[in-house]
Amino acid sequence: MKNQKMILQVCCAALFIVLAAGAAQADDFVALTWGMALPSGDLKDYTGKFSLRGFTFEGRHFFKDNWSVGGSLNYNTFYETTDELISIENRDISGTQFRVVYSMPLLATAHYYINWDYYQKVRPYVGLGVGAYRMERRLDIGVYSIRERNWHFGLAPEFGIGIPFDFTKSICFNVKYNYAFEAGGIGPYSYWGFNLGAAWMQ
Amino acid sequence: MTRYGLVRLARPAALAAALCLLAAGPWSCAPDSGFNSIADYDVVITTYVPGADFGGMQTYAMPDSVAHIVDQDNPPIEEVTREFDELILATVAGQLELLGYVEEPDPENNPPDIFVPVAVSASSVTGIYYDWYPVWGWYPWWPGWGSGWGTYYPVPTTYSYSMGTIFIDMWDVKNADEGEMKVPVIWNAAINGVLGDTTQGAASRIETSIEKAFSQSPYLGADK
Repeated sequence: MKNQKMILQVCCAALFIVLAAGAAQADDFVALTWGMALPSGDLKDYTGKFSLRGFTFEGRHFFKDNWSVGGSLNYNTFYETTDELISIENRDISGTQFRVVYSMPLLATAHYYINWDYYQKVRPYVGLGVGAYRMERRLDIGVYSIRERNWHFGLAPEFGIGIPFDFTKSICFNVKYNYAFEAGGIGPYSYWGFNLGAAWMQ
Repeated sequence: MTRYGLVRLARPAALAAALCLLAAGPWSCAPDSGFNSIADYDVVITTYVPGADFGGMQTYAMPDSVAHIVDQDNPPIEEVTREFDELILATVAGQLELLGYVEEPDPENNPPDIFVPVAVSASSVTGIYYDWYPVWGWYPWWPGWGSGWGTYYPVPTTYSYSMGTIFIDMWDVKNADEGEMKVPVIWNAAINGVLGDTTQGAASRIETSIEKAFSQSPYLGADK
């Protein structure tokens, strides 16, 4: 039931972003990307495996030639099965563990486009996302499961390129460093996001 | 809203629908845990008293049987068999010998440095899982019922399993408080696993887990 509720929330948020982008005037764009991610910091210690499970959806509105503002919805899953020894003070615990972290950032974004020109073959840009990260961390060991969920404030500086193949469609790729600050005694979480997908301009 | 406005919204709305499908995908297809066998559910927990002088111990003694602890108020569905008692005792003794501890042959007259009792217990877990029972595939003769049909009310499914735990203690006999009549426990291992494996499988898991309990305690040893 909780998953269904979360899916509903995600869909509503996505719909909001898309409709907001669609209802705006010209020079808007929407992008859908496949999200890969490399954990770093504490997250890497917990689950270090490169993640291929994720996506990003975003809408942007150009309010100047080189500037846009918008919103993005991201989702990444990190997981690993390990038998690493867990040591807590004078206690050691061993056993097969399934470690998983779900990350869902909802970010307000701003981007600056370097040498923006419709005739450029490659359009580089830099950006920053600020917003809320919904993080869920789970540890399964034996028949036991420990789950922690929290909202974190976070930032996501970004560098990306767009490769247009006509005036309205382009391939986009960006690298995003996600940092979710500590909240409720948990975190911080950080990871590098590598997003590859398509963008539509109107 | 003008027709132009509707056309403008059509594409983003289609994209939103596509996104909803994409969003549902990762959630509904949760990553596989990688727990493939009953042994993957085995857990070994060891606890020690910081500062305990494990190297100052040279001799040990063990009882010749394993204590089977049964909670009379909440008896388990499945008890731990005595079939593995000798294996448990032999494996523990073997590990102590490997660590350099020497068995005291006459513990009644020559108290050993440490006493290592072993106990086992079982507990049962029962529960009820509610799910929306998928009708499709079960009533194919009913016209119009195909993929996607399910029951309106959740259908309960009961489950139960039994867990067994082996407890290994290390009592610091040398530092027993005779006035209070208390013996400090300086190390303890709890090995927890699901019961119901084959005899061979259970024996292998018991041996492996006991060895792991000692190997994950590098501070143990007569020469430490």
